[in-house]
Amino acid sequence: MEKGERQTTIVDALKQMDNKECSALELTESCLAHINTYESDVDAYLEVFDSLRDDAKQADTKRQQGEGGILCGVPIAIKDNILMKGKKSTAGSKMLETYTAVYDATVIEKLKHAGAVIVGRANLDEFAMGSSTENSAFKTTKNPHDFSRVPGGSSGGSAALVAYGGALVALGSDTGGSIRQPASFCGVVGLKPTYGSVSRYGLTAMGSSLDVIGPLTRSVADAELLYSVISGRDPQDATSLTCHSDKKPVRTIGVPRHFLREGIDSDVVKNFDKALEGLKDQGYTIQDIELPTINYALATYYIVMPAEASTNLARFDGVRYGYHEEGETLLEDYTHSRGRGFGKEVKRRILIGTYVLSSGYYDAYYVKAQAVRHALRSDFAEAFSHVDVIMTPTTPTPAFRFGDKKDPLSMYLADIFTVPSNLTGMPALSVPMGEVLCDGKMLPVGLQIMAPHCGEKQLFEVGKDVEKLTWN
Amino acid sequence: MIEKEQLAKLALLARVTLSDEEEGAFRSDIEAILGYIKEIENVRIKNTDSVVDAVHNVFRDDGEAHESGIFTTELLNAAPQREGDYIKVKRILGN
Repeated sequence: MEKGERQTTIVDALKQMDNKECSALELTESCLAHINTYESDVDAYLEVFDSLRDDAKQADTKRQQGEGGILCGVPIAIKDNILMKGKKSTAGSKMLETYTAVYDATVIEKLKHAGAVIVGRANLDEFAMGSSTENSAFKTTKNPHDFSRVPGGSSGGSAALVAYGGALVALGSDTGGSIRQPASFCGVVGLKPTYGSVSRYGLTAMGSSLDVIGPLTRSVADAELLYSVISGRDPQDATSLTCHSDKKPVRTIGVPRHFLREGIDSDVVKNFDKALEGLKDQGYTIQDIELPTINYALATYYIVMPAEASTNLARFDGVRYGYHEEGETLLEDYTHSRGRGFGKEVKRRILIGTYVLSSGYYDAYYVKAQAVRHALRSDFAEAFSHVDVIMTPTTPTPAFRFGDKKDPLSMYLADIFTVPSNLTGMPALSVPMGEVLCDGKMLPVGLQIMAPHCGEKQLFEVGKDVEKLTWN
Repeated sequence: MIEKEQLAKLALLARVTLSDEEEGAFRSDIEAILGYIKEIENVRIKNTDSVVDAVHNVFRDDGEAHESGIFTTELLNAAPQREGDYIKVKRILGN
């Protein structure tokens, strides 16, 4: 990928289309040209829709007639665990290889209503379980900054294609960092919204108390615009809510220094400190904070998430839909269909989930994890009584090489900074924080900003100031 | 390493078969993961009653969600095995 190439944001593109300087079809053609150049190396898409040019032309017609919603003509890619009626929806799994969605997810309905042009389905780790997109049953997505490295995951396809220009923006989903971590690795912006602020209706469920859909974009303003389109209470999702955000300006940034001492690349810390210095120059106050329970967040997450995932994935039985393999008995139909339909990481998590929920272990693991989760929420509530936002690096390292993290635990540690906001339900934004030198290559890293529930406005405000910082 | 029998029991509870390769890997993986997550034993929880979640579960009012039968064909088309308007499954009770 060429460095320094200025990439069009959707805010720019909409302005250009309004001024008739470019058309939706031209935008789409430019995405297709990028796909043509990079896709064979990057493998970010599972499918680019045949109807794409026609949809773009239709958007142009609507624009000429003075109609069309606020995203009219904007090319967007969708992570393949979000349902689009009449399109395949595989969740990156052999289990759903031939499955066709019978309805639109609420976010898709909203995007269509706003006039967005959907480019295609983006690759992901199977059932969104992974931090590298190596767990997809279909292809392995590569990092566009260095093809020998992972793009992150699970929304690795979405992040990679936004980075190389295969679409202007994309949707992903975030259960423990699956939007922010790949955004950080690929040098794009990623928003994990407040839990419930975006409807989960039509999102293939992983951890239902953690999952949320959000945007991957090239600017904070784009994330803000996309969030305004996809958010809002939905009667089809009982846990969705209307966020009433306050307009409180951000003055104080909290930093949990005690949590940043081990296992982080020194270059990542250097960029992080530089960002804080720059923000201080802009007038922010930086304050050290304590989050006493945060060291246990990752362990808690790896109890709650597999427990919920094993329960959610029980629906895949080879009977009603999905992969089916014959056995001698009905029980064998289940075990064979699931045994061959699910990949290794999915099975590993189902087994862990089954273990922590089984009689005799339930109290020690699941019940205790719920209590720790509660304590973590108190920690954050206490911290947010002193500071307006909290910052950490998004990930402890830049993108790692394929095959570098063979044992699952070391892979799980890539999520250490991102899981807390899924456990608490608070929103978090990853914004590019310059690059670090790694084996002769400059690789992007991300800065994570966390805010109290429904504090997206605060995230965008500070995020835009982070974008103003320079890194050389 | 967790015992082979313990893993087999867990796989049966989870309704999955495992390949030999998976069996070998999971016996040590699961041991390591359980060892890691077990560290939450050490957390001492203080009183956290005052924390209220942003999200509350809600129930919708009773009512006709949609006309009966309008999705039947589409949904049945996704079933691996069917007979007319029924999904076909094997006998559950023994002979």
